[in-house]
Amino acid sequence: MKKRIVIVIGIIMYFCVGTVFAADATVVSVKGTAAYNLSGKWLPMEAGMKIKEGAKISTGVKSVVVLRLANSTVTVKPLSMMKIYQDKLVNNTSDTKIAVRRGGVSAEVNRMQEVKTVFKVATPVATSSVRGTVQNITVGYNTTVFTTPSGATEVRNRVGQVRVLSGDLRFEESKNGTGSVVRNREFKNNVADSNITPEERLALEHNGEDSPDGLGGALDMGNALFLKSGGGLNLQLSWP
Amino acid sequence: MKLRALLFSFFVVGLSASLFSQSMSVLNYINELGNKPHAVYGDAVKLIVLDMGEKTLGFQNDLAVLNSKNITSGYALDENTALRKGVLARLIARYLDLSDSLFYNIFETERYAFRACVAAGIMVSNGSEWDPVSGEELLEIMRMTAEISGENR
Repeated sequence: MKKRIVIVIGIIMYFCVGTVFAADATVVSVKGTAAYNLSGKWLPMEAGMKIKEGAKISTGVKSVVVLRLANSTVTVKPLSMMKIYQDKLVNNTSDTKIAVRRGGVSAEVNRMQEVKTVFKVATPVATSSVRGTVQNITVGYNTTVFTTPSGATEVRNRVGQVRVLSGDLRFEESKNGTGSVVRNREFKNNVADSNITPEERLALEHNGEDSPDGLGGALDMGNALFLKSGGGLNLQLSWP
Repeated sequence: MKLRALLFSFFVVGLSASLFSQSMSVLNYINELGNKPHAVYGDAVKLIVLDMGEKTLGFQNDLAVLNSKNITSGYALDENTALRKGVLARLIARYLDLSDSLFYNIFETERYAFRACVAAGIMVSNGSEWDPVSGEELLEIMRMTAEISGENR
């Protein structure tokens, strides 16, 4: 009788706690050289292997690793190092946390209606929470860059500033804590006299600001034009 | 016949193991480089050789590979000489054949090689060609270099 009671209690506790799976990451493919480190030693990584939580992953020159996590796919780019902190399936919630120490990763998170997905990426200067679907993170020596080609991402830096990225926005966080959101497209500004020859215009477009310090930069040219025109300036804006 | 097949299979397994161990030794080297406070000339030479897809067989052999392509010509530095951004920039500018910078094309100095690398997005503009390069920074610069060299092939 006592045994039956203990068994019943055990079954009830099991269902109350819920079903928790630590999902091992699967190595989908390895191009070049890659290794993982779970117990202090770097071991070679091959396609088809299972990688447990807590493992660090490192890629070599011209090497790419694709990992399949609980509800997402992570591509680790060359000369990169990342760690899988958590990769769990708890009932209908997928909870994945990875950290990027250096290099770049691209995370593609699958959004399924029946599964609540939490996917966080931590870097030395900021943490992002992917709301779906694709996010690129590059951790550099001076700057960490977040982009979201598809879906949206919430990025939080060390001082608690939060930005939501989507589309062609890029969040750059520098080591000294200055973060900014910029657009991926670049706009070039050129200031020149309207009477320059086509060859001079082509050289200006090609070389831009490439001139020795203190000689003939855009500001000097702008000042010269302003003084020459007696305080007035005609401005032509050409958008790409 | 059986003995030959056995010897051949041992040879294949041994060769695969040695190639694998060399790849792992390179990866271990890269991971240790990321923790080095100061990179040296030999690190830059090695990483450029690796990016070229060649095998690295020691500093002198790596140097010979780069000398044959005029990447390290004019430099007689020791393997353990502290690496400066100017030296690294010039090696990379030669390796990638950066031709977009007017003044680098004319003078080919470390100063303008640094500016050319900044313009190409390989290095950042804060600092100068005299700054030392840490191991982590060298890895980041080589990562950017690899993206461009991969596009050019």
